[in-house]
Amino acid sequence: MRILVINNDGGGFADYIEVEPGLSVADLFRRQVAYGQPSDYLIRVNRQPTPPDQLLQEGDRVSFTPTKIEGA
Amino acid sequence: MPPPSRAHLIRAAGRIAAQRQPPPAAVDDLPLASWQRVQRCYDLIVAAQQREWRYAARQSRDRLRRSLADLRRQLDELDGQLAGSGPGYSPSLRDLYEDLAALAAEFPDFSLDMAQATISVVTEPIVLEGVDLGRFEIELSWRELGSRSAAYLVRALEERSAASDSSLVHPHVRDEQLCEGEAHAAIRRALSSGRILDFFVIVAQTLATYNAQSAYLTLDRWEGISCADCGATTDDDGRSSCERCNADLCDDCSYGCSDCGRTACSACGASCAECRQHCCHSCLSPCSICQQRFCEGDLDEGECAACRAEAAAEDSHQPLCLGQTSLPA
Repeated sequence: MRILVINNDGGGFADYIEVEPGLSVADLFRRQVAYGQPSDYLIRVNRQPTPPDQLLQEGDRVSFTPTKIEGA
Repeated sequence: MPPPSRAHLIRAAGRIAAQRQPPPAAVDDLPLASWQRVQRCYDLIVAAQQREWRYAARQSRDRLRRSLADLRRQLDELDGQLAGSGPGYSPSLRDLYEDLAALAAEFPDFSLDMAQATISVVTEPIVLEGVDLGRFEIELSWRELGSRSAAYLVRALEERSAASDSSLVHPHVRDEQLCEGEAHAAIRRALSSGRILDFFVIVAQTLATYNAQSAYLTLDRWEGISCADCGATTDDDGRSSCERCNADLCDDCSYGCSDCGRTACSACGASCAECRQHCCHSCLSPCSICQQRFCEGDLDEGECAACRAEAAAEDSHQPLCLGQTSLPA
């Protein structure tokens, strides 16, 4: 199934990807954010905060935004 | 202010969609100029360390960190451009509407100005390291979406600027411009791909984060600077630093050494026991007889004037030679 993944860490990323049905938000996080902890990110599905065990659906919009972003 | 109606949000989404430009396909040049700045700062540190210029070395180190942060931002941006060089995400009218609706729910205050083509949100009060900076308004001009110039402003809604600089309303905001740091590439990418909600969330999270290493002004100096000698609070204009230990000093406590001219705090300097002029410790030497410390001008062959006078007086009462004595005329 196709979902939109947005990773607002580092250079920023937003694109559609294919994932298998039954994938949870936590599984997707581990794939997309190599070195981060879920507690350090605002994780949303379809713009709403979501628990990590929520299963993803076709067409979902998932975003990961760090809770701490250092200005200069 | 009441939240905008659904019809209002749909109309704004339509205008934003009409305004949006497709993201540029080309990638930026390599950040060679930034790399050269990094190299220059590094060379300055090496030179300052060789000459033992501690203050200059510290300043150069701060400058190097800023240059490295700038370089890192540009590399992140380039990486983001390369990662997103495919067709990628382009928001539909519905996506834009849902972003606007989510903003209205996410922030305590949200407004649209159709005439000015701006979207504004207000953050919760921001408290960093115990310093209450108040609420901030983030205003985005959708006419500027996709442009490389600053498309948004950050305004403090409460008057809590730094004591030393009224243009500083946040450690990372000066003159309504956020110094984006780590957020730079993600902000540019959110704006260029029309992700309005992500843009505001990234800016709000950046405002809620403190980075002491590259702040315009660190929060321990926000209310002013405490003089290391007298403890009085002073602002940046009235501040100087001890050139020996870098302690902050107020104007009243900032004395230059009467010998070498360098500023020295009370811990790094003292008064000459003769002339009472302030000198740094390295310009004071002990009298070889009394061990009190004197400036260079008040020692003669390592002895102070008082000790020399005393020695001379004693000499005048000594026999001239063994077995002889002075006789009255």
